[in-house]
Amino acid sequence: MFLTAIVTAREGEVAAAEEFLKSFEEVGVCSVKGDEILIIIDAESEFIERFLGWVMENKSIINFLHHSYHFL
Amino acid sequence: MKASRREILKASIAAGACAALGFPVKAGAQSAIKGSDVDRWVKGVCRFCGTGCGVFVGVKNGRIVAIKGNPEAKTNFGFLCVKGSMIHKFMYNEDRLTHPLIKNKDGVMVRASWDQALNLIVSRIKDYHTRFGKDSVAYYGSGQCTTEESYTFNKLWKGGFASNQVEGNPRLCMASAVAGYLTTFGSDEPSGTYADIESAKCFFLTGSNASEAHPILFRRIWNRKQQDPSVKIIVCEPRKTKTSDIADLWLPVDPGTDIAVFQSMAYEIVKNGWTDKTFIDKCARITDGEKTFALEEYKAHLEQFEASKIESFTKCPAADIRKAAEWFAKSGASMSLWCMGLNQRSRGVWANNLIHNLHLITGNIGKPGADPFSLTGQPNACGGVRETGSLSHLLPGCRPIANSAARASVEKAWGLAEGAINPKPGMDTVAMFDNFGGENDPSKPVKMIITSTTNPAHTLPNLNKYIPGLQAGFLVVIDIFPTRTTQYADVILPAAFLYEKGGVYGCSERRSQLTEKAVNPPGEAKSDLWIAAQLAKRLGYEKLIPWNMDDNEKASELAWTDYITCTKDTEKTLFGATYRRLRASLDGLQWPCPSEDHPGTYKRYVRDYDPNFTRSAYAEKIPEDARIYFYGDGKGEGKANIFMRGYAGGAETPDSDYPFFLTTGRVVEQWHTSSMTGRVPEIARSHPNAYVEIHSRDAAKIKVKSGDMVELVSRRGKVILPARVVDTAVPGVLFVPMHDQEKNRMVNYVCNDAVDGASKEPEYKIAAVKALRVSGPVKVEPYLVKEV
Repeated sequence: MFLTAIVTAREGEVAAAEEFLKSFEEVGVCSVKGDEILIIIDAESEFIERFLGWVMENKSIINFLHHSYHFL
Repeated sequence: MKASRREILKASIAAGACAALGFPVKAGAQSAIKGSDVDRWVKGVCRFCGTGCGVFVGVKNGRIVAIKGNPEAKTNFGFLCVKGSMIHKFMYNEDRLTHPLIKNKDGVMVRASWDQALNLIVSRIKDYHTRFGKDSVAYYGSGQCTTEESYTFNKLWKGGFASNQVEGNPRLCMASAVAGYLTTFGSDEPSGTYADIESAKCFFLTGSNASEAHPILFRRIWNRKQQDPSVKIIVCEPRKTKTSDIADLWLPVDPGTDIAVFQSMAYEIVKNGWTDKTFIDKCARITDGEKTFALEEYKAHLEQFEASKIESFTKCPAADIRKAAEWFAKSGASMSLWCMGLNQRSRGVWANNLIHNLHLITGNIGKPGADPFSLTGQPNACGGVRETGSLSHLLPGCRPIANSAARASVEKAWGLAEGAINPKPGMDTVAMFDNFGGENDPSKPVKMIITSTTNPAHTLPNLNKYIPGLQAGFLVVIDIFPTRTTQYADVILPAAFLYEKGGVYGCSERRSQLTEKAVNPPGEAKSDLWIAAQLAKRLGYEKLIPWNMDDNEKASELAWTDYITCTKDTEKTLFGATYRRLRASLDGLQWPCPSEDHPGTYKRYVRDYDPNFTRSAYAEKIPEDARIYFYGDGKGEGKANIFMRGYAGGAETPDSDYPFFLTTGRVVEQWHTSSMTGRVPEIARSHPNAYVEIHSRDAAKIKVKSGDMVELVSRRGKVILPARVVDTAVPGVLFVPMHDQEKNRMVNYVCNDAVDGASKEPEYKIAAVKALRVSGPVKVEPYLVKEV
């Protein structure tokens, strides 16, 4: 199972946020639209438990919204 | 992650989500999203905050295995926050309460049958009613029960017992908003809806950290700004949060002083002639509650709040106040959004009135994008408690119990004799628990409380004062998990979770949505509706509440039909929102919805939008040329009140002994007392415990570094928390999240139980404390109540 999420970057910091997200092998950066980055994460791995905390602490990121689960 | 999964992930690119969100979709990717391994998706509503996000829960082999946003829902358009997306992860937690428990003579909770538990409760109710009177037994409900459940308990008490000892935890979060709407407009709940967000040209967020408490709505606001960069966002709050990160203008304030800032903004607007005089003349009156005043008199009253005069004690820069006033007044469509930061105050009603004032003097109401909009923190505080009148002073339809015509109408609807409903309001929440005690204590007239889906032993302010009553009185707790409150219970009844029973939730924007039952509850757990109806039956009120069958969906429909029939003639009518329609709808219906062919209402008080303009009870008093008419006006003039209020800060302010302000609130991952979210592994690990946020300047003064343990002491209690040193607060203001269940970290032991005189809502947001470093960093263990 995977979950998709929208990460909202701080104004002018989309590239930094995208780079941060791409640094994780467990995260797929799907698309970027404006200041929002659509990502997909492996929801079955323990990674998400740590990732959530890192996202919340990242200064380039304003918001994290889960969108939906996907079964591949 | 294995390479193969990584490759799949990259290849799929979440095509369905991309399409739904308007993100570019890569060709061919759609085919990669398929074959969800669930048996079926069942429509529902998120269980957490008051946004009312539509969801689909995925069921496989009789268990819920996934949740996804409902893209058709007008609240969230398919999005869910981190909490809502993980509901299924705690539903099957090993701590679920699965059978009734009764405290034995040794004080030990032992397993009981439903018959034993219900018969014990019934015998106690009869005994206390006989010995101490009907008001000795109280019901304390929640903005998380379904509407059908709250309505049924309310009907049993007020219609059956003739007792108004019915309260709900929205008293602790929304009562000031209710009183604010009632005093200004004569009618509770917003005139507009979330749809105003997409039309607003200026947002005024105050007393709301929407980025954490309402992340879905925060996204809509941010999206609006992205679509039109000329849209202004003003945030007024004592912390620089992620909400203020998106603001064009942050108005920092000391807790409680925003009342002066709102008045100052009004002064700037009036002084500079940015008012909508036509609107004021036709649709509003300036009043102190007794006399009416001219605009010039209002201006003279406001002059004491001129920006430069209040700058020093509010800590809000005068130039920024003036700028905010101009943006608000000149935008063309300003929308205010607020939450507990305004409500949980000893002057919460005033704060609400003063926000309404800004809208009324500028005509920012009754048109797209212009609305004073109170956000709610629970999924069914509006629908279940405010609209069903499940508070001690209300009747269904939010009608005051002291009103004889309202009582007569409800008596008729319920088939009661004239005069059957007690005209005397019951106790408010704080008074109820203050008066709760043992049988042999003559100073405590409340002997028994049944709580449902709420956790007062964690959520009441100044807990040291109220815990003895919870220990001494006869306490029945209905819940899904052990909590601080179950630790004081005499009887515990295991509850079904929302998706295990179904029912209606009414969210912040007057929208009622039906959740379908998706799975069976675990063990012997039952819905609160079944429990209420069984109590009614065993107490001889089966005729009043006949929906006591085991089929919860049938019972819910009967209760809902009874409710919408009882409130048919009120302005909040949902008579057209039948179960048939709600079942068929993916986004529910917004009241007023008077008939089955009515689509629900986007704007209240506005001709051609609000159906009350053409309903006979209202139409005869609304002038034909009135485009906007506030039909709740007690004077019958269709006007709203622009209140001349004075200034009052918090009931307690810092002094030499307690030099810091303390304010409390939510974090994005956790919800309320974390009894649910704390059991989601991802959330528990990412945000496990409370902490105290302290400005670096203050931290330096008391020699505290991040991670150090700090004792916060108020006149009422103390907590010990790890410090987080930040530069995002107003110096002198400390912040602590409220979710932690560990007793030494439960901030409500410190909070003030002073209440607003009108709304009776406690002042969680303002307390005076001292902060002392007690040690360097120590490992802080997460804590959940596991034993009842």
